[in-house]
Amino acid sequence: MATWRDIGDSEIAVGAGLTQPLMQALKDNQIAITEGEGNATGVAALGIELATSSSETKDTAVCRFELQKTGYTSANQDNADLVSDEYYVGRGGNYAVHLVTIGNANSTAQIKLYKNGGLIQTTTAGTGTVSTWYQLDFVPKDKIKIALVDANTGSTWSAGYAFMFIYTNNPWGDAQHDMGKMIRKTPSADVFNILEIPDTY
Amino acid sequence: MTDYRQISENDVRVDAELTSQLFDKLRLNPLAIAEGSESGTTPAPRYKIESLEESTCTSGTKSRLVAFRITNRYGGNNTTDNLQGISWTCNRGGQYALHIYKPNSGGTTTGKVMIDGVESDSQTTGSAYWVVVTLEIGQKLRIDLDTNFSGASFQSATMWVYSDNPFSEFECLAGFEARKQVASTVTRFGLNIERDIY
Repeated sequence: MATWRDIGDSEIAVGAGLTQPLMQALKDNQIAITEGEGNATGVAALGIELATSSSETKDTAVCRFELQKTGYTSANQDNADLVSDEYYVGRGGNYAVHLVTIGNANSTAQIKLYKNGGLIQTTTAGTGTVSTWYQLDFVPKDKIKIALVDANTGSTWSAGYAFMFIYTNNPWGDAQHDMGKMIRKTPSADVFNILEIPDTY
Repeated sequence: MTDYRQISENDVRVDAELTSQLFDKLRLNPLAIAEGSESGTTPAPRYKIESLEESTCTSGTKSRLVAFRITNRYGGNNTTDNLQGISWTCNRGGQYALHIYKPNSGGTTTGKVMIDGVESDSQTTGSAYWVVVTLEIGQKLRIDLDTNFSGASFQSATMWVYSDNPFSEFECLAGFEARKQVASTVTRFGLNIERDIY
């Protein structure tokens, strides 16, 4: 294993002598980093190539989320937004975000997309299936979530569905998210589950 | 792709000649390593798992979930057998924030954080709480449930493990449950996830 040695600024100052220990450190430090030796600088997540994406190609999913609101009538009207958990961004870069809503005759569903608590996108409200793609830049530690919203507040919000899929085309890791998180809200229960959420839209 | 060219000890010995070829290696080899170059005098050295920056965390912050474990007992077993959780193996050293929820449901129950089989934290409180642990690669983390009450209908200890600087896009979606039920002396295992709403 190569030995890491800090190289001081004085060793490479103008007029500094070129010494054998300096040359040894220049040679060995490169190897020591790869080996994680002693005090060698660790490879940071920030040093990893940024995520890239292609719109509408559905490459590798890193997040799947589904929100459901069903079973409401004028007798138990509830117009509150239904909010997902947050996806925590580990690697910065550009991600393809696919948002889908399904409303019905009474409920014009739309999605509000939030980053770190701030609204960044709102999809078009619709009674049928509405598919929207974005390519968005995220940085490490960003927190992404969606809210399912009924834009037609003048009628009973009987049902609505919202989906969020986040994709990259250069994933860091061998896994992919074939499963996702689902939240279902009905008048009688709030259900959280992990299940398959295929992007068929 | 950049060629990787090995620098010998002879190249950097005392009184060795300083050549443009040597400085070219010093300049280009870091690039070749980053590229995973296979060309040159020898394949570039690969980054080992030990070379990755250690995990960091912030207590109280639900950042990236990297593991989930729940250890529970259903039904009064008429026994006070303790229950051992399922281990999670640390693949990257550093600090991890553990969020633990162990509701009280009769008698005294204790959630015990175990690292390589050694207790590192023990709580009997019924509230959720945070613990930061420092782990090395290969160490095994689990949460055990101890009790002195044989008649409880449900006892559990739940653990979420968080890192602030994950190296992957993929979060943990589910984790192991260790369950011991009434009239059963066998511990069963399953897949489970609980939302961290505490």
